[in-house]
Amino acid sequence: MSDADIFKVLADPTRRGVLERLAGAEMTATELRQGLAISQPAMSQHLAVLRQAGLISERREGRFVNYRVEPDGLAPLHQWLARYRAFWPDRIESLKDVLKEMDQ
Amino acid sequence: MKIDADALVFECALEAAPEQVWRALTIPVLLERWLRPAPGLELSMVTAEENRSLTYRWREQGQGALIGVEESLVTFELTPTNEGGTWLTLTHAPVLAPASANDNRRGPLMLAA
Repeated sequence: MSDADIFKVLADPTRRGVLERLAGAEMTATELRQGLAISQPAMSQHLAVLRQAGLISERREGRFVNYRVEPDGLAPLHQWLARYRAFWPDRIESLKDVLKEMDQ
Repeated sequence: MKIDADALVFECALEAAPEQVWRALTIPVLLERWLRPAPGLELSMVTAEENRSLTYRWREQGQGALIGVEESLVTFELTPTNEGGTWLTLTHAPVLAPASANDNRRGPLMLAA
């Protein structure tokens, strides 16, 4: 899965929730499911999608697999945001100029 | 960490009536003059309510796609002000999230890893 899919991955509220929970601490899939009405296969599927998107990684410890947030995983989102945080104020200034020109 | 990948929101007052702003947003020659779109950007109108609100589907190629976004939605909302101008609210949403994912919240995206 490429970076281009990160927004589709994050569009799912369950996956966003998983990522938010993992930000606090490493967890196993079982721990992640606690308090959520979600089946084990469904959780596995979400974790696989998050892992393939580079948003989380796994660490094996005996029989257990711990999941954690991959710190650089959200970099494409941050880059996108930074780009448009600069883009739109600049373009809005240009829009104001064009509106003035239209008056003349 | 709170992942709120809803949208970027910008707001400002414009010294032009909504009808005039509408023309600047919808007439291609005027739109291109201020938007200065990058090569490969494709805009297509998704919804339009004349002089009030307009949403473009924003498809990027090249640089935009490379950093991880191919498609997003840009919405302009125009509200007339008492001074005869327009209050512009511009929303750029990176995620085509289902409505239920938005928690009924709107506002600038806050994201801290």
